[in-house]
Amino acid sequence: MSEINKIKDDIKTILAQNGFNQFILVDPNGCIIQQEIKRIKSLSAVKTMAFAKLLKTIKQSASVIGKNKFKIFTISRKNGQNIFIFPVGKFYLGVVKSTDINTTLNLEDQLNSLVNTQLNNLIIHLLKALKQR
Amino acid sequence: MIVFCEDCGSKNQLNPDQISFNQMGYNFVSFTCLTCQYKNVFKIDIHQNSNPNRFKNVLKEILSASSIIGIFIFHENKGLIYHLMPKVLKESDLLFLSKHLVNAHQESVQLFPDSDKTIWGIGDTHLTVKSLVNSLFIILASKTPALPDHVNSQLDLLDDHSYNPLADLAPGFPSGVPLG
Repeated sequence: MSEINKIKDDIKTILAQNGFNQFILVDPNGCIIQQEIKRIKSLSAVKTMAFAKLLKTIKQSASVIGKNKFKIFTISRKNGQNIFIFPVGKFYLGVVKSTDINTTLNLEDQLNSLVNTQLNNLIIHLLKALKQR
Repeated sequence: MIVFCEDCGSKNQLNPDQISFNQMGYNFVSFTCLTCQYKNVFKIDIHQNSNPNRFKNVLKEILSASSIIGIFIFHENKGLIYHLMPKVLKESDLLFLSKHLVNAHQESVQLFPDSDKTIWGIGDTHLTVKSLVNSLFIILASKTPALPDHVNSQLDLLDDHSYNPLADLAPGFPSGVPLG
C-alpha cells in the first residue's frame, strides 16, 4: 500500500470512528486535492466542477464575512447525509455525515477538535506525500 | 368578522359564508343589518388568505426562542426587505452579508437539490439560511448550530406556497421598504 493510500485510510478511519464516512480536500483555489466521496465521484464532471466552485465560494465568502473567525459551513440535507466544510490550514476539508450518527451531538465542536488534534497532522502528511509523487 | 352597516352604522357580526371573493381575491360582504334591516353589499379592503401580520408574527415567535439572536429576510432580486436584528448592525452590512450567504446557499442547492438549510459557523454565532417561497430567503442568527424543534416547526409554517409573504413584509415595495 502506498504512503498516500495509508494516510487516506488513516483519515477515513478517524472520520468513520466519529460518524463521518466520506471526505474531500481542496486547495485554496478550490481545486480538489483528494476525494473519497462516493456520491461526488459518481457525479458528472460538470457537477464535480460545481462542487469545487462551491468550495471556492465558501472560501471567498468566509474570508470576507467571517475573517479569521470562520469555523464551519454545513449543508443540511433531507437524506440526513449532511456535508460539513471547514478550513484546515490553507486548505478546506469537506466531510459527509453517516445517516446513523446521533444528531444531538455537537458535530461542529467534534470536528473542530478532530482537526486540531488528529486530522491536522495527517492532512499535512498527505499533502507532503502528494507533492513528492 | 365584524362590519358596520352602511346605512345606520350599527355593528354586525358576519359568518365566513357571508364573505365572498372575486377572482382578484378581494372580499365582498353581503348581509342584512340586524338593527335597521338595510341590505348591505360592499367590498372590504382585506385580501383572501391574508392575515396582515401573519408572517411577521411567525418571525417574532421565532425570535422569542432564547438561542435566536436575530432574523433577516432577503429577496433574490430586491435585496434585504425586512429584518429583526440588533440595532448595532447597519442595514448595508446586513445586505452585504445576505448576498454572500444566499449565494453560497443557492450553489449548495444547485449541487445537492435535497439541501434543506445551509449553516455558517462564525465565531460563536451561527447563520442559518433557508429558501422560502417567491425567491425569498430567511437568515437566522443563533447562538447554537442546531435550531430548536419549535423554531424548525415555525420555519415550516413560513414555507407556505399558498401565501405571498411579500405582501406582508413589503407591501409598497419598492417605493416603501419597511425595514426594521
